[in-house]
Amino acid sequence: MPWKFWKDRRRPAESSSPQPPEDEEIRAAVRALQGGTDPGASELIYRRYYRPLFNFFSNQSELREEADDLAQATLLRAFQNIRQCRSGESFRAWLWKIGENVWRNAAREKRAVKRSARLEPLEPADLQGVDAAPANVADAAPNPEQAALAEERMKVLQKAIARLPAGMRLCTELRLYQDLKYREISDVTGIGVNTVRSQLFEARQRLKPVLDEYFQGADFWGT
Amino acid sequence: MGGRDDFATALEATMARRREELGEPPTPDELLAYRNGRLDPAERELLEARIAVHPDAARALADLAAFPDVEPGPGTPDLSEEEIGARWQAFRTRLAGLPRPEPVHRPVLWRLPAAAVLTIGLLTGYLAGRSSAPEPPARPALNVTIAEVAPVEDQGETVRAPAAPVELPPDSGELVLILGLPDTRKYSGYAAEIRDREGAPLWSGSGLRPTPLGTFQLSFPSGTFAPGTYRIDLFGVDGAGRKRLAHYELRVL
Repeated sequence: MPWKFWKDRRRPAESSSPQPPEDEEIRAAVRALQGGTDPGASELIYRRYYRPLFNFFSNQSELREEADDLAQATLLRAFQNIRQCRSGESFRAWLWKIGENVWRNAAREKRAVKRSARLEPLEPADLQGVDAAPANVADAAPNPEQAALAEERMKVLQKAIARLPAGMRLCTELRLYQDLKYREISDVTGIGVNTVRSQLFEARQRLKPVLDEYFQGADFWGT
Repeated sequence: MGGRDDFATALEATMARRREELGEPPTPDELLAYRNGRLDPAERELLEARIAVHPDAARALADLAAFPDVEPGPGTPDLSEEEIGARWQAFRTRLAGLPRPEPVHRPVLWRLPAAAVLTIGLLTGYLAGRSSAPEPPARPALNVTIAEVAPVEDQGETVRAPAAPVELPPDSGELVLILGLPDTRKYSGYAAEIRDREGAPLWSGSGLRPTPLGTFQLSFPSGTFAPGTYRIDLFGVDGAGRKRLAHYELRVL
């Protein structure tokens, strides 16, 4: 099911926790690089930040193939401009600013390629055999009555979700469409985990009549 | 009356329908504007609708919030330390081929009294009529300020990026601007123009080449820019024609 993409994502805790301060080891490594010495400083930084950068880019499906290049480009640019990281500034935040630019440029590049690919006309050879539909398609299709019922259920559900207030709707859609957990919804929306919990509780109450009538009243939300 | 499977089917169909209605997934610029609270309520609501039906967008926001604790999602390999070590070895070779950055000179507290002692010593020597050794010629020192500038407009689509404020320290000798390359199409050449707030041309240059990182670097003596806002236009040049690829806004403090 497509909204189960994050099923296996693990989180250590549900409660909100601030980011830990940057450790002295990293700050010392940055100072060493800025001072022109590198007794293992660049390796320490690389080993600390390559994985999160790689994971970030690779988690974006359209950038997955270039994730290694993009993580390397981010770190390379950071090492080249290490002097720009001011003393007292978080290296992590500074590095991520560079990562944002790499992300922006890579996504633009992907979209430009996609746009130009869409404009390419099909050659006659590409269309050969297109009208020969597989024989078993008709067998797999639902009968008209089933299709109409499914369409009705879909519309009813869509309307019920659309009637929810904006913030509650986003929490609900992220929970239902993408199967996100409370903590993940909190990360996406920027609201606290407890607020997410109460928004979803309220949404559940509001959607209950629709679920009761069209989906046997079963609770499919999980926790 | 349906059950669990029908609910799942209805959800899947609803999501697909909404995705079709709402169009393309949000761009990184849109997601960053959302995250940084730079959208008005109407824009925010529309973007939230798109985030809800594009798992990559939601994932990016969650990963941004978690950085650097970004976990591998489905389809992303969970890299071992050995694998990262191997990648480091390849990266190190690449890094070694680049020029080393100039070291940063930070003010050190002991320098002031040391300088005072030295000055007194030299003065005393001079007054005593001693001949002193000739001073070595002063070593030229260049303090370079580097600024990365994001495009404001890309192919006619307005990308909201605030003007990057650049602080030029009094001792800054050179300003290097790094411009992101917004267009992937390759041109035989590139050109750029800089104008002040009133539109008066300040500088123009052609024959520019992108760096391997996909950026352009322009370097100027710091005195070129008085405090104020400047507009930089980047052009792609093919034959006799040229096309504006993006413009950037530079704010100098």
